[in-house]
Amino acid sequence: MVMDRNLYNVEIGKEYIVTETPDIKLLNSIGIFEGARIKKENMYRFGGPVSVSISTRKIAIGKNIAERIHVKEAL
Amino acid sequence: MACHELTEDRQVLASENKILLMGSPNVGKSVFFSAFTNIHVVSSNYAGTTVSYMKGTLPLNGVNYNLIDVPGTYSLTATSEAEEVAVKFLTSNPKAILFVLNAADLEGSVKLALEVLEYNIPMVAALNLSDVAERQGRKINVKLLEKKLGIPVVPTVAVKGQGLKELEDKLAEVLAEADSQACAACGSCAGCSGCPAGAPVLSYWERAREIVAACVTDTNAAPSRLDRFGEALLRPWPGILLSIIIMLASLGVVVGAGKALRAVLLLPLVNQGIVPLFERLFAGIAMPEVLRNVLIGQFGIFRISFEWILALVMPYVLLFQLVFSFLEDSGILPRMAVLFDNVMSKLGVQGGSLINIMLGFGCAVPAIIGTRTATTRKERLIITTIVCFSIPCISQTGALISLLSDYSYWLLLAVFLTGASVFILMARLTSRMLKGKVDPLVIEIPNLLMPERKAYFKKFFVRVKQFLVDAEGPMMIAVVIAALLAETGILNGISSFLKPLVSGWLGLPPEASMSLILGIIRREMSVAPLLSMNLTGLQMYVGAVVSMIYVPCLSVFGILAKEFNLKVALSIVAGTVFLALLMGGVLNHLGQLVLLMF
Repeated sequence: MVMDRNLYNVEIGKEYIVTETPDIKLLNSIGIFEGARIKKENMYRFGGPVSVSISTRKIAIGKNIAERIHVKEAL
Repeated sequence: MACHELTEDRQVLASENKILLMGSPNVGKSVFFSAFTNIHVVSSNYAGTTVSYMKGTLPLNGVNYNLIDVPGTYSLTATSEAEEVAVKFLTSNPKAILFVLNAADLEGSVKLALEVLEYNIPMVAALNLSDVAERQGRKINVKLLEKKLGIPVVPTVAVKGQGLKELEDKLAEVLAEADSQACAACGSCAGCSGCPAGAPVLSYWERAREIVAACVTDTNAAPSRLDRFGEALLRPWPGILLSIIIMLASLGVVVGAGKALRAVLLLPLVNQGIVPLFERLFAGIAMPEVLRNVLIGQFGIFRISFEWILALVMPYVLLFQLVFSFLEDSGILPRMAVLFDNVMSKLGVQGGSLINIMLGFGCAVPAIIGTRTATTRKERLIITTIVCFSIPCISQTGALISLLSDYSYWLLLAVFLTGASVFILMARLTSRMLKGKVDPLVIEIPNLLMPERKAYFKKFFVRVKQFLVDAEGPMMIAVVIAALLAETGILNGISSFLKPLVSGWLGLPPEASMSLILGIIRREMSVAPLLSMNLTGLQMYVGAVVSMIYVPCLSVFGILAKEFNLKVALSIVAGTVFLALLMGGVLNHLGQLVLLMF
C-alpha cells in the first residue's frame, strides 16, 4: 500500500505524485497541482525549505507550505 | 498620487499600436525590451506591488508601435496583481504579442503561451535561453514547436543579440498579415461560436507536457560544469560553505581592490593633482579670507568634494557594482535565499528577503522598492526596518573601511558584528511588534549562468551612472554645508551646544557634531568628517556604530514616505536617531570601563 505523506517528511532523491495541495494559487501556476509528478531534491535542516524539480524547473518551497502538500510515491 | 498613476495606466492601456512583450518571470523580457527600444517613454509603478511595466517605441513596417514590457507571470488564472495587469493588457486590443519562451524550462513557458494564445492575438515567440537548453543536453525541434503552437518561433540568445533580427522580421510579417486580414476577421467574428468556456487549468499543463514531449529530445549530454556547480550550490552541503566563501570573496574583492584603487590611483590624483591645482588657482585671486577657507581651506569645498566623493566613496561604489552585478546575473542569490531560509525564518522573515537585504548593501532605496515583491505588508516593513537600521550602503561602507581598517581590521570586524546584532535585534523586534503574517518561501531557482560580458558591463555602467545622477547632488550639498559650517565658525557654536551629547555621552571630540548634521543628508557624510579628527580606537568604534545606525539619508526618507507613508518614515528616522545615540553612549562608557581595567 502506498502511504499518503507530505512533501516535507518524505525521503529525498525520489519521485512523487502530488495528491493534495493547499489552496495557494501560486503553487498551481508553477506546476504543483494534484497529479503533478515532482522529484524531491534537497531539504534544509532547522526548519528550512524543500527543493523539488518539476520537469526542467527547480522550485524551493518553505516548510509550512511543503507540510501541506501531500504526495505518494511514483511507481 | 494614486489618481496620477491611474491616469497614466489608462493612457498606456489605451495607447494605439501596442505590442505586448510577455512571458514568465526571469526569461529575459527586459533584455528584448532594451534591445528593441532605446528610449523609455513611460515607466511607472502600480501602487504597493511589484507590478511595473515599461513602454518604448518599436518602428516596424513604417509604423511606430508601442512595445510594452508586461510584468512576468507564471499564469493568467491566479489572482496576483501582476497577473491582473497582464490580463488587462491582453484585453486592451493590442496589435500583437511578442512572447518569450524559456528554452531551459519549456514546459512552464509553453503552458503560459497556451493560456495567452486563447486571446486570439497575432503572436510571435522567441525561444530564449536556447544556449542553456543546449548546454543541458536538450534539443528542441523548432519546426514542430511552431506547428504545435501555430505561431512562428525564433530561437534566440537575447543577451548576446542572437536571433533578434529574425525575430523582428517575423514580427513585422505577422503584423502585416494581421493588417491585411483585419476586415475578414471582423466578418468572421459573428459566426464564431466562442471558446469552450471554463477550460480547466490542468489541461494547459497536460497539453504543454504533450507538446514538450514531442518537441524535445534528450541528447544525454553530461551536465556541464556550471550546472553541476549550480546543483552543489543548492545542496546544504557543500552549498552553505560555498556561499559563505563566495560572500567572503566578494567582500574581499570590494575591500581589497577598493582600498588599492584608493591608495594607488585616487588619493595621489586628489592630493597631488586636483587639490594643488585649485590651491594655486585660488592663490592667484584676491578674496576675503573666509571665502578662501570655504573654497579651499581644510574643509574647503574644492578640497573635501574631491577627497570625500572621488577618493573615499567612488572606489568602493565601482567595485561593489562590479561584484554585485555578477552575483545578481549569475543566479547565486536565489540559491542563498533557499540555503538561509531557515535562519531568516527564525528572525521572522523568509529567505527571499535576503536578496532585498543584500541589495541594501548597495543602496537602501532600491532595496526598499524591491520589497514590493514581499507578499505581505508586515514582511515589507520588517525588511525595510532592517535595511534602514543595520545595513550600511556601499558609500558608507567605503568610508567606514577607510576610517577603521587603517587603524585595525579587528575594529572593522567589531563594527560589522555590532551591525549584525542590530540586524537581529530589529528583525526580532519588528516581527514581534507588527501585526500580520509573513508568507513562507516559494521561489523558482534559475539556472546558474555565466554573466554575458556585454550585458554585464552595460548594467555596470548604467548602475554607476545612476549612482552619479542620484547621489552627486546630495553629496555636493553635504560638502557645501560642511565647508560653510567648518570654515565660518558656525560649527564651533553648534559643537559647544551639542558638547554634552557628543563629548560627554558619546566621548567624541566636539567637532564630531558635524557628523550628526551631515549624516541627515547622506550616510557616508557622517563618517567622512571623522577621518581627519585623529580619533582613538574607541572613538572610531563609537563614531562608526553611531553613523551606521543613524538616519539613513534624505533619499531614503523620501522613498519611505512614498512607498509607505510619512508616519513610517518619521518613525524610522526617530528610531534610528534614538538607537544610534543610545548604543553609541552605552558602548562608549562600557569601552572606557574596559580600558580602565587593563
